[in-house]
Amino acid sequence: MANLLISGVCNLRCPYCFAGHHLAEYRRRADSPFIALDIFEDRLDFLDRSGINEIRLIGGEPTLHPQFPEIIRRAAQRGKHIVVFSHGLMPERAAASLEALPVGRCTVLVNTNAARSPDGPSPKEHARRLAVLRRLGARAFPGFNIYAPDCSLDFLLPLVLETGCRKTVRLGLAAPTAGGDNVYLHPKQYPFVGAKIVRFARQAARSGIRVEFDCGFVRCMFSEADLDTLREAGADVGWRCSPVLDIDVTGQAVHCFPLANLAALPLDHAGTAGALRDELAARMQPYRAAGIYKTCSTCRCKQNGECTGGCLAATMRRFRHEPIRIVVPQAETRAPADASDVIMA
Amino acid sequence: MLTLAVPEFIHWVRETGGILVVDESRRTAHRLAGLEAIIWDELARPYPELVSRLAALLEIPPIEAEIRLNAVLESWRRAGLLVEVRGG
Repeated sequence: MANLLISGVCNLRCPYCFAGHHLAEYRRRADSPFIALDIFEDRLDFLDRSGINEIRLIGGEPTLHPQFPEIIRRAAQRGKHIVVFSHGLMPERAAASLEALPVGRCTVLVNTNAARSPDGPSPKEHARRLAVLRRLGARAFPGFNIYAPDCSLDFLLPLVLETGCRKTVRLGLAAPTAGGDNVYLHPKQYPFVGAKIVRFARQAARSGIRVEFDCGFVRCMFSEADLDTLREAGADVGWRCSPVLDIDVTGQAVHCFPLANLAALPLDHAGTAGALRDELAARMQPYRAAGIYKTCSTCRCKQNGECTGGCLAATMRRFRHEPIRIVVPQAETRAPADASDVIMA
Repeated sequence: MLTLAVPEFIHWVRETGGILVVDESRRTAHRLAGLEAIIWDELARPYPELVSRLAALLEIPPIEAEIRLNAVLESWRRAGLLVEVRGG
């Protein structure tokens, strides 16, 4: 798996956006906010040699790329399954290019709480999104980023049923961005949100709609009874966090947007996505000893690998560094210092 | 006088049962528990105060507390969690 950034531009302003900080940095470095077609061909080559048959297009808002239909055409020509992460308010030409793809060759994840206003989507935005979901049918399904404990999921089920889109809802927990200031769901709020998700999954199952989890969930946000309910509801649950590999237009591969400041490599560093992912994972590995809660490192579920301990970006917020100095008056108790570990003040 | 400092590539977090210290430069994680966790937690204090607190916490004479403290500081220096600062 690797996500290709094709547009550094987005026309919405979601308060929880975890890409915004990285994209602002990226726009300062890049000549153009959009991927050039020859670079896109290089990315397709990269996927081919990495043995990846799925192309996952991200932004910003990927459908705002002026040559989006051509990008889709070239990806389809290479036989890729096309996945688009969109806010759903896409230009006509983009919707038409996706609609033209066979249902089995295309997946569009529509973020339903993306909006221009921090208060959430306007009725007009909601109506436009509904129209796109209806038009794309089984190619598309809605996603929702939970960034506040009082968020309402109620609108999602009628939305799926009314539009005839794929009967799936993907839920994500808004993650903090290293170095950024986005709004995110604090891990202390996870159990409260967990109870809400269980109620939602139960309702969804009654309508034949499946709930699936994005990365960053933790097992302990659900009780054992809740987990039974989720299983009965057929929910696709997981407690995972690993390098997604987001690749921007300048050829920088990052662990994921929330950790872009901490773990990045140039695309030519290694030949394949697997090698890049391994290196990024190795860099962050020491931090994986901890989790989002201070109980994670001694938790049985983390120790046996069942749960990763939540989003690494959320875990990283717990770590601190202070330039502490201590002056030891009795130097004779120590062994002579090695020259290699002496720094100059 | 010996000045020891926590280098910039060292990050830590308080966990249940101790402190987890990550050394980014060596890509290692160290779990500190018991006496080590206490000392790390109090490391920002001036040395004499740290000795006094350890003596009080462990109910041992200050001279013994200082020996234990220096042993721990030396082990951290060897492990790279602390570095000697010249002219500090």
